[in-house]
This record gives sequence, structure tokens and C-alpha cells, in this order.
Amino acid sequence: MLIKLIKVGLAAGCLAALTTGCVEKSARISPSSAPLTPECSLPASKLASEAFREARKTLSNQECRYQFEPIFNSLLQISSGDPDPVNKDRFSDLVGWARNDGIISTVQAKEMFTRYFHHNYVSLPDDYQACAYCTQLNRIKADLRDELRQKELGLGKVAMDKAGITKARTDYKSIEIVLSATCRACGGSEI
Amino acid sequence: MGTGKGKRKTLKKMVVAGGLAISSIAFFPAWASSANAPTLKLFPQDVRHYLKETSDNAKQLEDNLRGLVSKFDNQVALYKSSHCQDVAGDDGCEEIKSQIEKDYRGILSVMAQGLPGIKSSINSASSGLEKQISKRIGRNMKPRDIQRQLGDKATPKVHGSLSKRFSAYHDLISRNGSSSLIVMASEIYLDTSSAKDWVELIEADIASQGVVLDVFKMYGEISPEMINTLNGVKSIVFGEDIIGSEDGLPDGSVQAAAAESPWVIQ
Repeated sequence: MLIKLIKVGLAAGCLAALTTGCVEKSARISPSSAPLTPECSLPASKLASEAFREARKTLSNQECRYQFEPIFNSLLQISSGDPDPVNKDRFSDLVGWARNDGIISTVQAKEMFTRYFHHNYVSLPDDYQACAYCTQLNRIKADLRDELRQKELGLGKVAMDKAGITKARTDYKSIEIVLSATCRACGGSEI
Repeated sequence: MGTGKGKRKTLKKMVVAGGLAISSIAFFPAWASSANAPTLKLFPQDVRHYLKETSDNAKQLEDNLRGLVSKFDNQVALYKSSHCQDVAGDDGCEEIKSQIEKDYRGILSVMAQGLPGIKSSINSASSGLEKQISKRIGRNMKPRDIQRQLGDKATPKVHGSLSKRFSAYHDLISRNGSSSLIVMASEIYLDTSSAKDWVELIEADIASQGVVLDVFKMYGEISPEMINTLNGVKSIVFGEDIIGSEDGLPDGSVQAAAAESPWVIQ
């Protein structure tokens, strides 16, 4: 009986220790809940060139790698206050460096750069034929609108790429028209 | 000996491959010359024909209506400036009133005669385009392919009367410049759909105008329904004629591919 009790007590203790361990571990890797530590702080400079240097230094720290997205967003804000066509190259170099360093994947690098600095819309689905997405047309249009806003910030404000943002706006309107017409046509015929 | 046989086999393979390559180029010259711009058969001959027919029918309706509408407008202006709605039994006012009624009936009759032809050609153009868009875009392209098909230049925006719009569509398709065909087809299809709705609304409006005319005859008041119907006919049948660049946006030429980042999703 005594042996049985000891066994149960040991099992409960092990379970408690395991659970606590898990909680601590998940708290450590969750980027959303973790506050920025001083060494992982966002770039503070108002100058884009300096801010990019700060960002790389921070991201070189193994503990700060999960902060890539907030740092990327912070750089966008800083660069919009220091607009220059060269900013596009700075962001291209940054995502390339981050990808080579294993901070982000190739797909993430391409997705982040294109979303802000190219007229191509990454929010457009690329898996199935257009008719298959007609039930989600409103969501796709909302995603396109959001991405146009991101391009206005990246191409328009940060990189001052007039031709690029003009093409992004024109394409946005054209895609909306073609998607609307296509979904009307898909609904009107038997599919 | 064995090596010579091998060489002959390789040579034979090369000749066959070369022949195939040459015949591909000869049989598919468009494909060979511009691999990134496949020709989409969005505008078959019957669609072009119905667009032209819609334009011709609408032009006929415009011509038949123009004089009548202008006469009606003048009579209404005279009726109002003479304060006829406040006077009962005045011979002059009664004369203007019967003229207004006659002109209005004339307008309704011309519309009733002209609309079926327009409706039929719009329906045919619309269903032809619907079939092509559903088949060649809806069931053949992913949403991201749509952007890949867009040209560098914005599609000219077409406004104006029915006849001018459909005539402009026919011209744009025939010219087939650097504008994107899928955008043009989509715009025309959406326009034919709304024009169809408009024709149905006007037809329903005309059917109910008997009551409106009876009210006018009894009380001598030009009702808002009469004016609304007339305004609808004027704005759509006569409309402003403008063909311009898309919303005044400048044509954006895309930066050279060589200057592009390697981090772009194509």
C-alpha cells in the first residue's frame, strides 16, 4: 500500500514538473507574448541607413531572431520618414541576408518583399482555377485592398517608385474588374 | 564500328528534334514569337457582330428619340413658365397639355419599338462573352494568372451613350492595341450585364406609364415619374461621350527586369 502511494506521488510530481517545463518553454518561444528585451529593441534611428544597421545588429543576436517581423515593420515606418529609391534595395538586401542567415524562409523573403515593393499581388490565390474562389470573392477583394495599402507604403512612400505604384494601382483596378466579371460568368454558367 | 553506329543514332535524333522544333515554329508562329502573351479567343466573331448590332440598334433609337425628347422638353418648359398647373380650363394650357401627352406617348412608343432589338443583341453579346470568360478565364486561369495576363497599359475607359459605347468596344477589339484583352472583355461583359438590367427596368417603367399619363390628364401635374423616366432615357440613351485613359492615371511603365530584386514573386 505504502509503495503504491509513493508510486502515485512520484507520478504526480513528475507530471507537475513536466507541465511547468512546457509552460516555460512555450513562453520562451512565443514571439507575440514576449516583450522586447533591451538587446532585442526596435531600431531607434530616424535615418533609414542607420536604422538598417541597427536592425541587422539586433537580428544577429540569436535571442532576437524571432523579432524579424516587428523590426521589418519598424523599418518601413522609419523609411517612410526618410524616403529614397535606394530604400527598395535596402529591403531587398535585408530579406536576402535574413534568408541566408536562416532567420526567415525563402518563401517568406519573397512574400514580404513583393507585398511592399513590387506591383505583383501575392494575396491573389495561386492554387486553383478562378471560378473555385468565387464564394470568397469579397475576402479576396479585401486582401487586395490591404495589399494595395502596403504597396502605397512600400513602393509609394518608402521607395518613391512612381511607375511601380502606378502599375500597382492600375493592376488593382483591372484585377477587381476581371474577378467580378469572371465570378459573374462562372455563376451564370453551369460549373 | 559500334561508335559509328552510335554517332549515326545521335545524328538521327538531332535531325528529328530539329525538324520538330522548326515545324513547331512554323505551325505556331504567334506562340513562338511571344510566349508570355498567349492569344485568348475572348471575342469570337459572333460577339463582335452582336456588339456592332447593339451599337447600330441604339443609334437608331437615339435618332428616333432625339427630336421627340427635345420637343417634349420645350413643351414642359412652356407649361411650367405659363403656370398652367395652377390654371384650370385655359385653352392655351389645354393645348400644351395635350401636346405634352402626345409627345410623351410618342417617346414611349419609340422606346417600346426599339428596346426589343437592343435587348436581343445585348443578350446575345453578353451570353457569348459570358461563355468565353467562364471558359477561358474562370476555368482556365488561377487568380494570380489574371495579373500575369495584364498589359503594361491601362485599358481605355469608355463612357457615353449606348451606341457610342458599343461602337467604341467594337473599335477597340478590332484595333486590339496593347491594352489587356481580359480587362476589355470583362469591362464589356459587365457593361452588357448592366445594360441588360437597364433595358428591363425601362421596359417595366414603360408598362406602368399608362397610369402616370392618366394622372397627368386628370390633374394636369407633370409627375416625378414622368420626369424620372425621361431623365433615365436621356442619360443612358444620349449620355456624355468620353473615351479616355483609365481614371486619368498616367501610364506606368514598369521598371526594367534587370533592376528587379531577386525577392519578387512572379
